[in-house]
Amino acid sequence: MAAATFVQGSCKTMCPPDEYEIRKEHNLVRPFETSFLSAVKCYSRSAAGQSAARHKNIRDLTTLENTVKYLFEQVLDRRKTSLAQLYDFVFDRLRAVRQDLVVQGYLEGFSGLRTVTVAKILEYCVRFYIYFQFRLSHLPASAFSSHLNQNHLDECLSQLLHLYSKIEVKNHDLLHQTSHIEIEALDLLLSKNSAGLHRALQLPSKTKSNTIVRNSIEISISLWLGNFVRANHIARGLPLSLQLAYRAHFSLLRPRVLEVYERGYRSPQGTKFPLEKLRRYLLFDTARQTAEFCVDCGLSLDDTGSSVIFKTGTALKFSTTSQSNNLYDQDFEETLENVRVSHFLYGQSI
Amino acid sequence: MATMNLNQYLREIQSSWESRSGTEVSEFLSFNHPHVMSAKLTAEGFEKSVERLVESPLDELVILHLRCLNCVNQQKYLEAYSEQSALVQAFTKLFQTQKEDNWALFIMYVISLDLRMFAIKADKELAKKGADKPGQTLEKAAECLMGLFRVCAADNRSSDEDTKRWGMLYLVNQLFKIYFRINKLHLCKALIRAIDASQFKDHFSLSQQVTYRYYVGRKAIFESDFKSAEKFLTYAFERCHRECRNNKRLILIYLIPVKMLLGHLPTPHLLRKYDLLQFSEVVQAVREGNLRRLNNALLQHDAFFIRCGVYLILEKLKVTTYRNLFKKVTLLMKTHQIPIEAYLEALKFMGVEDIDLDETQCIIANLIFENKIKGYISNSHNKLVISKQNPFPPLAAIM
Repeated sequence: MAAATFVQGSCKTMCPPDEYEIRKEHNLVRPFETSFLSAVKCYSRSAAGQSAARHKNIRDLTTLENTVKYLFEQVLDRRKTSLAQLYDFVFDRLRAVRQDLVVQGYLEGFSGLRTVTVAKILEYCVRFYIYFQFRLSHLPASAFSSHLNQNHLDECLSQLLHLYSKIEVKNHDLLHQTSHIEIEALDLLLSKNSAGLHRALQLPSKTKSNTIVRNSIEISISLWLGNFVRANHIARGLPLSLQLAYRAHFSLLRPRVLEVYERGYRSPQGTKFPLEKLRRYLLFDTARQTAEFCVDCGLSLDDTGSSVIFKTGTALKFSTTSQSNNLYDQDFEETLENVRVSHFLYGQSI
Repeated sequence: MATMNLNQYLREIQSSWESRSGTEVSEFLSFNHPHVMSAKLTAEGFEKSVERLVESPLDELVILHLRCLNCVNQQKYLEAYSEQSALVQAFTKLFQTQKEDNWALFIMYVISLDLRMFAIKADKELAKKGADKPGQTLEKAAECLMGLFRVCAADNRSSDEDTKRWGMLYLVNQLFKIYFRINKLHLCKALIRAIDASQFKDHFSLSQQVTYRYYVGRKAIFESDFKSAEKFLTYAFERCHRECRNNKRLILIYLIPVKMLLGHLPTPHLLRKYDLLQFSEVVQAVREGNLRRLNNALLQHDAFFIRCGVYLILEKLKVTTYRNLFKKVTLLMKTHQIPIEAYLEALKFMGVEDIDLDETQCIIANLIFENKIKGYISNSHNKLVISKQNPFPPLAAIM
């Protein structure tokens, strides 16, 4: 995209006045938006027919920063409605913020300290997606689209890594003002194949020697070698945001973990494997969830319902079961209830 | 040659062109040839001399080549690349018009090689100036070469002797070198398909085949397809000329870890012969089932292994090492029902820190899952019950 096609935003309110008028007229104002001052620009697919006056509808960087601050502190922290509804609203408004960043060319060139600000905003978004991936994963697909959330997380991460590489080349010192270590580790933990590991191994040694990065590499290698126990163990020492990301990634591995244990323990006469033990390996919150998952995969439970039976000749079947994406964990849930959402999103919590 | 004067150069290249001598013309357009050392070729007004003494379409190529030489002499590689790129594009056009003819393939080879070399130098120049996209010149070079590739691949009406399709593998190899360097391995797929579909697949020159197999083997490693990787890299190693020691060594860097994963350890003799002693410690550790020794071996040469891209396969050797260790323990116990604690103690003895029963069971379960141990874990007795027949099948047979 040539620089000439980037717009310089001039809107200084969270919602462009034009848009507010149109939405008000068509009854498209959300309950959160009680007046013009609390209205936030929503996401729209096309920047239809705005050419010359377009810049009036695009918020400048400072306004975008303030918008994000508002969404986090005045909407999320205040918690006036269900998490799912909060997510819906803020997801859309953040998407619009990111869109305003893109059309102004902030994700392409390098603009010194402003690029650092842009990176910070994207970092907040990444944590947003991870936070809600965890807190809403137990909801049915109609209430929360894990898939869509994951896509935006992936997109944001790759945009961030791109920005970091620009900052690194143009002004290396500025990198310290970002959370690039946390994000590199996040990217690695969420990576679906060994390409992430290859990339991480080639990071500069200063980055690699950082405890968080080093542990993330060890976790990824352990997973790659099938040593789930070790991976889970090391993951427990990670900062909160990384633990949530790890859980999200691990849930994709549950079928494989079950396969390995089934294969390793199954006997011709049938081995009884305690659900409580399997629960720990599969990172499920309750034995009941574990049982549901096993049954969905084609396994049987014993008479007491406290063990699953691994017997030679059983064929496992894997489809998207009700429990496979469930990240719920009581301890984490309690921790997050007691942490201000904005603190987590700003990267302030451990 | 090194002090060749311009007129002489022009007359010779013109005459070689007239007699359709591909090899001779290619020498005069190659930066590996001593003529490039002559300062007389780029003296002022050289373009006029070219126009006077050289016929079209060769004149355009010569002018671009000399312009490029001029840039190289001033060490301006970005500009040199620009000229070379224009040369390749001009050549592509004229090559296409040469119907049922492939004598110019020799020219294609040298100008492609030089294009890639200048792209590498140009990117280095850009990096020094703080460019944000590493490898952007190489990417452009790849596009340029793809243009040439298409001309070659499309030449399927000519006779086997005169077809330009003979140039395909050379170009594919050049493209592989670029894609590996800029880390875009997925772009190799289409090229591999094209070569696989070619009737000349097994008739290209041996050196081209060796290079091809080397890269395809490395790609297979990256995709964890170790059986295929072994096949390709073994071919490359065995057919690589004895005197190309550097190349043989390069192939071994990838072949050795793959073969180790498949259960074949290299001899100390081989490692010494090809100066690959970085692998000695790894080999010993795996043989002994010694985890601590393996970890140290990987740490000691991690920069080398990471740079070559074999670090991860070597990590995978941990599984082989566990297997070897557990086999020893099992033989020592002389029973078919071994308490898991025995394996746990062995791991601790071998220097694995912070390990417990849970993790030991996990490792064993994985080995059973991968068919490396025949048996099952009894949860109630906390024992590994092994098959009475061949509980530790040889690795080479399983993989």
